[in-house]
Amino acid sequence: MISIQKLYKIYRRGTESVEAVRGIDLEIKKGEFVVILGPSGGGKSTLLNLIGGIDHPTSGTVTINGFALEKASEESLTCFRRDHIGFIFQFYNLLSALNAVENVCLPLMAKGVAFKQAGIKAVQILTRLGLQNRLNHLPSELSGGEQQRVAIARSIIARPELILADEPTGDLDSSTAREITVLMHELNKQMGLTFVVATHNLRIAENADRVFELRDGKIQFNSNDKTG
Amino acid sequence: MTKLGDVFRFVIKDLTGDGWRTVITIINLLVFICSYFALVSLAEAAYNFGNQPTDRSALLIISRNVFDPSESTVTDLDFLPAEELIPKYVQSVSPLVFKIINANNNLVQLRAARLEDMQTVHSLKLISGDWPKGADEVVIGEGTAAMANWKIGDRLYIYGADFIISGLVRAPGTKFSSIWMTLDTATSLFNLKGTYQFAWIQLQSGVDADTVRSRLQNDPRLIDRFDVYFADNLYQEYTKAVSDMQGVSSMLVILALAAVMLGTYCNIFLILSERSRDITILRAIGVQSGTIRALITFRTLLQIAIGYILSFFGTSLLLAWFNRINPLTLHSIPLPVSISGKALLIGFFLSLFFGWAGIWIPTRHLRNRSVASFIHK
Repeated sequence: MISIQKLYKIYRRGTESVEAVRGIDLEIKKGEFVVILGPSGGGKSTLLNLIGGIDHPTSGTVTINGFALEKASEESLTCFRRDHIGFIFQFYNLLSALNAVENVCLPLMAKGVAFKQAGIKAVQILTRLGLQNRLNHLPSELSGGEQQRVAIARSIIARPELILADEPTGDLDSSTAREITVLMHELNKQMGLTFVVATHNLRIAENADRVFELRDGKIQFNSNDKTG
Repeated sequence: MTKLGDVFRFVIKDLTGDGWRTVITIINLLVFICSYFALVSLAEAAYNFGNQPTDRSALLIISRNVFDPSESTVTDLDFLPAEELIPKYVQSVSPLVFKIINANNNLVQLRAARLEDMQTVHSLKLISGDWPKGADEVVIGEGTAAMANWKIGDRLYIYGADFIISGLVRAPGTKFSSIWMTLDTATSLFNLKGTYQFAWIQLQSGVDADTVRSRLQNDPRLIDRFDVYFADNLYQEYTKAVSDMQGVSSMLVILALAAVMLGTYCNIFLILSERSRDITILRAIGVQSGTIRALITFRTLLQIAIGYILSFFGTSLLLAWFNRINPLTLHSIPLPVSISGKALLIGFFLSLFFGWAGIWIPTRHLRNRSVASFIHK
């Protein structure tokens, strides 16, 4: 599903160059749950951004289902994300003025679905994630765990094949983090979604299909491929 | 996001979601749009003052090269060239006294004419009260009443004597708002000895006014010492002598436009910088740049429209209050300052246009900017 070859990302700050990702080669299969571990500044978020087409590589290729991200224009990358990728962020990144249902509706509305139809589906998903009593609450009225559930609902509503999660439990207490971890694994199994999760949380890695450690922009450790 | 109703719903939610920020943004816009209204209405008042339609039914003879019309001196002898044109070209020639005086601490015009000329020659219409009968009575024009807040029965202290306002009159052209007294009263008050400020020449209807004016202007008895103007042209000429009002008004309009343009642009630019997080989220989840621009545009134009309406009512109230408590005057003539329909309409489209430009300029590269560039900003 995802093929990454000789991927480099170099940031230039004045005269200084920072190599955030250094020559990564990686293949991820459809339906895999992949965890990228590593210290802060190790390049995890940069790698996720490159896989999600949020950032452009300095060199190398990222191909998802045959679509070469590095060659695509910004507009086609936006369309590709809309149709194929869901994002979960550490700080949820919900729009503060919109309630839970409205936030979840956004990816479907980006596809041209009217709010009324998108709302029906959003309610179904939020109910499935246990938020049936929080549908009309604003993000500021929700706990961290609830906000992350809303963000997860938003990431899956448009039925993407790939979910990219950047520190999804980084801002949650351990019990809520466990719930979110379980939820992501359930979605992976039940919906066949491919997950690529960047995290410090070893609990997420416990049931992952594969675990990588990214340090100084390079993969230092690659666990056995459990999917065979 | 293709349905207008959905766009409207999200924009309203967004604006009300952060109510205080919306209020502060609108207040920022208010400052600039109110400046536009104030400057444009001032410019229009100045322009209108110098561009009154000319009344071509009357001419004035006035001393040449006097800075202030009240310094003009015309005697009965100087009336002769005009009187010789009666009845073929001229209906009547009347003396008119003109002074700028301080009455009850207000600098106002005083005009004195024969009582019978007030209605027939000067077209004064009594609105309320009576024409001056006694030697201590005067009537006042509407403009003067509004400017000085005087009413019938009030006492005025003029040139060392007490007068009572006996009536309120409407005169053609509000710029000629004055205190009016009879020529007899003025003669005794100012000790005129047969000298006046103007000879007022009422022309016969249908005559070529320019020809009569030219004939009088070139009369050997007047040519070197007097000027002949159309009655309403006088202030236009004197205004030009004092300052170039056209230039002033043009400058004010340019200032007003610059205020509304820069103010709107700066506000929108600021709003956009503050929305980079939301833009990043929307782009990350697949909302196209065109849709984001449409949302921002709609949101911004809605704020501008609200700001514009509030500014209009706010400035109108302020100007009405200002006109009442401290009216603007030029040569002791009230200069009513108000917002015209033209200024309202032009300002509205300009605000929307500059608001749109304020969105377009900083977002024109949105289509080609990576989402990461917003994150790293």
